[in-house]
Amino acid sequence: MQIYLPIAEVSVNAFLLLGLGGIVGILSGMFGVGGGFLMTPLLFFIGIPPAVAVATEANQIVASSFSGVLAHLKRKTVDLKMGTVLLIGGLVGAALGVLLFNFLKALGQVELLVKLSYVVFLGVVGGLMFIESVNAIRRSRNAGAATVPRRRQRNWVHSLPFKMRFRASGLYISVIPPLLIGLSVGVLAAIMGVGGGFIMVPAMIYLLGMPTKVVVGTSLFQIIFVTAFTTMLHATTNYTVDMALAVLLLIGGVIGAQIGTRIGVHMKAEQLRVLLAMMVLVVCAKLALELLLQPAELYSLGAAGGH
Amino acid sequence: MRKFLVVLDDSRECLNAMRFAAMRAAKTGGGVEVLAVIPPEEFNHWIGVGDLMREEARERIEAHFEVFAKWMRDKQNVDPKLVIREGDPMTEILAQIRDDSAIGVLVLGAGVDKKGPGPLVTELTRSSGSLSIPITIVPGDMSRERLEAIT
Repeated sequence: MQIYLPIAEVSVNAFLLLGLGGIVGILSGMFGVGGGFLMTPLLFFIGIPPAVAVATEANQIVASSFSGVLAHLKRKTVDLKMGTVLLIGGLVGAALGVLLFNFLKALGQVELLVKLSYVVFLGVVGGLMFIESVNAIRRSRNAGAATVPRRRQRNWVHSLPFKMRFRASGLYISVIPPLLIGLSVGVLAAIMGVGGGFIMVPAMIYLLGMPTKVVVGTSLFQIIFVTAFTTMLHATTNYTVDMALAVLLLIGGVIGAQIGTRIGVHMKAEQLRVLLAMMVLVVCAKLALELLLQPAELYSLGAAGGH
Repeated sequence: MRKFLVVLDDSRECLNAMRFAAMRAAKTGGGVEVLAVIPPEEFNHWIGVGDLMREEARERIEAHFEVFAKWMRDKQNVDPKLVIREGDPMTEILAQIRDDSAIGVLVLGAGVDKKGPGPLVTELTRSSGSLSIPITIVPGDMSRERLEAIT
């Protein structure tokens, strides 16, 4: 069933989109990873323009994180004060990111920016995931007692000015690091259409020293507002949010995530994580090749604009 | 020795379940086993982060358990044992009952909330027919004196 996506200006099979949403949903439910960084490159591959893919994916993250935030608020595992500081940084970052995005769009280079960012990020994230999961498998084979490395209790973060008390996290630290973390995640949200939890969560734990109990809820709290803001900015300045695309992906994603979570509960997915990491690396390699190889069509008419 | 199994979580009603189990165990010469379940974390992007989360959850549970354990040792002369399992609470409780045949009674605390007695009580009473041991449900707002009187 071909449908025409009005904003993306391509027609694709509706079931393909539902299926794509479903598969990414299953993966993210199974492994507990955010779906954004997997979905956006897959959208490039089926021919959705990167600008549309990024803006629409940001929109989808708002919807798929919403129930998570509610659950965390109910369990009181959100540090609202820390979340607000991260959010302020995030909003500024998102605005800067959209500015950069629009500037490069005017130059006709936004595709390159988005794809390059993805090559770099997927490479790093996929590589780290691969190393981690290989180590985990090796450790479980040796069956040695796994020692969790203790994080350092005090680091340079504690010597910065503008200290603030975050009661829910039991922290008294400078607001600069959380603002910067929020800011960089905001930029990522605007340019790549990801929530950024995979960077924010480790940063909150290892840099800020937040207790793990409140980390996930607080990061989700920041993510929904930042991605919502990003979606608005993209929608009002670039007109690149495709509702039809978002709805189809979301339906597939919600169903997929339910299935994925069930699968994840029933089996230890540790072994399969290697496959996920390899998939991320393959996607990265394909994107990189597309950037490097000479395209079949040397010239393309498109949303370059501005000439 | 017959053991009472109590579930430790963040709810208020587990306090009364804990008291009841300890008092009954003291009176009848039984033991207390405290089960805490670490639910699967929804963020699992990094294995290192996941390990740290479980580690911290474990430390929290141990600290929480120590509070009850101290009271039980001092006041009731019962030395409780802590068991930590990971996974879905329902499945893990059933698995623990199956694995440890010395467990004689499962003690649950019922929440006083209008919405119902809490997910564990609701779920477990529904499948109580197929359990291998009886369940005792302790109302969450029963007073301490009243508990002492009936145990």
